[in-house]
Amino acid sequence: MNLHLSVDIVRVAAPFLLMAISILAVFRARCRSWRARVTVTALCGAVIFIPVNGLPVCGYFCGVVGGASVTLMLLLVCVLIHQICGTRILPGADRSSILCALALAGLVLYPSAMGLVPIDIYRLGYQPTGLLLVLMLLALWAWVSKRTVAALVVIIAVAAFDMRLLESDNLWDYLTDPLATFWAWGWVLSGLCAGVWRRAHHARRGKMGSNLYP
Amino acid sequence: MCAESEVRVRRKIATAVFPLLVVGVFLPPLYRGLSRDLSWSFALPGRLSAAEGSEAPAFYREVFVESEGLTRSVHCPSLVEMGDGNLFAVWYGGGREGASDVALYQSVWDRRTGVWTSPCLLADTVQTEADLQRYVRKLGNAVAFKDSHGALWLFYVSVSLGGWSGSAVNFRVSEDGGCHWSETRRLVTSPIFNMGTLVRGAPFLYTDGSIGLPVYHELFSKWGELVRVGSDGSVLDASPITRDRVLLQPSIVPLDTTRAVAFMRNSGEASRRVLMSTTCDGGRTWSAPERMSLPNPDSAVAGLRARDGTVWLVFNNMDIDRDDLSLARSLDGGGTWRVVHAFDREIASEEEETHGFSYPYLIQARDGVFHLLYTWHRRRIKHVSFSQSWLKKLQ
Repeated sequence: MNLHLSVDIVRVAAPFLLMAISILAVFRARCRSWRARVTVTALCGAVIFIPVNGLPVCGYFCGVVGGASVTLMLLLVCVLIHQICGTRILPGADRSSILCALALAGLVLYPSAMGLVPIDIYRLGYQPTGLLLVLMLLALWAWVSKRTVAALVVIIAVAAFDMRLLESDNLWDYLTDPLATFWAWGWVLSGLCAGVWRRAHHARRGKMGSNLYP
Repeated sequence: MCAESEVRVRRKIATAVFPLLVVGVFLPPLYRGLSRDLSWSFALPGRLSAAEGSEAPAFYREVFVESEGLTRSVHCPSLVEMGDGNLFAVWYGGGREGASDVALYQSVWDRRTGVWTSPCLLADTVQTEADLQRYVRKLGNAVAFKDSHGALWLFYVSVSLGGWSGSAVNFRVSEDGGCHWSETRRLVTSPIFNMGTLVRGAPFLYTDGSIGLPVYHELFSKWGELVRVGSDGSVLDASPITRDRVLLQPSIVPLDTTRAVAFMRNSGEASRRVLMSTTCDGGRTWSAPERMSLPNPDSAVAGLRARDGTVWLVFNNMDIDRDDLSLARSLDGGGTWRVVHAFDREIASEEEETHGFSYPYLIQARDGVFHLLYTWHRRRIKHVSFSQSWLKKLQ
């Protein structure tokens, strides 16, 4: 495969997926048929190539964001397919595992990349023998615990790294990125908040019940 | 019954296929990683013969690169000796630092005539944007380098969002001495939107032909790093020089095949000194930075190990301003220093705002002659050349 072509396809994939998902989410009520949703998705695919000041729309996204990880793109593909067909490709357990792993990776990786801690975690991604072994164990664990899609996400990210489908030569950039991390942190935080609210709600109901039946 | 056995067979196939898939995907990069032998040995220029350099007559010349009138402001020159002994210089110029009209310019110094050619455009935002297919707002620091095959490399900074902390490093390669350049490609050196990395110090070679590129990060905190760039432009490794948050623009000087010293600009609080970190394993790990005796008014320094083993440092010999650009010498690999010469010195009045003399870039050519380029009042690029014999007179 032509390396430049593959890099370009991967580069436009993230802005396309993000735009399609956002527009479908906003116009969910109006796009009731799957045909309408496919049409909107195809339009988004065309819009990202429209030149603005000589540069396609996706070029502005790439300028600001740099590039998206393979993991984020696979997650976005799952979301888009769910939005179009209603098919849930990513089971709940797999999604939880991936997002928890992303949240944890972000907690370790980004403070290190900002120079806030003395250890350089990002460096492990250039000569990633150790990181690959850890990922292999994680993929096997995910498969054994019946999280097949999560295992496949790891495998596809590693395969993409081996083929250098992104601009980066660092394995971390195939596994995670700041957008995926924000997503994961948001998911973890909303889960925690929901848990706290549920517990408080149950406690209130229990109190009310005890007041009713003294 | 038949359907049940079919399901069982399918499950068995899946059970067998998945581990095979894992092995098939993970083994090639694991094997490549284990079999790759990254050399951490510096390639040093050969020692000067008695006929070269030291025997040349003592001379000291100052000229300006003909850049006046082309752009209002110029900054950050870089220099490399080409195969024919001519010098190739690159710098950025525009309305002011950080303006959207800033572009990179190149000029060649003919060693026979001693004249710089008229500058020509090397890279700008439009070309960089077209090559990278992404939005580019402004350009910044650039360094030039000649690899082991004689190809010229240009590493330069571009920004898409925000100030210098939003920078990324790009590169272009020329196989014909700067006449034609490849498309711009990007180096990915940070996981945070690939932001915050800049270049300034002179790159150098490793014995395996890869390039040691000193970079520094400015996103959230300032720290220096050594990035290993392969001959195909891939990033092979990166080792942080310091994580001290105020040290930037490392100038790395290999002393022998495994030892090197990195001199760094200090952007910390008052009473700043040039900071120095050392490595004994080819740049894989670096010592904690130490304060040197030389002052540093938050400005770039340029270090060089001459072929006779002396280490030279061009720096601003002032506590606050950049109005004095001096040369210091160390005979013990950076341990002790003696200031031997002032290239440019100016006492500015309080009303007059000067931009001083900054961003020095020092090389020693194959004939032993030293060449120094630096920003002169942000208006011109000054070229100072001097021989080893002239330096001996200072000692």
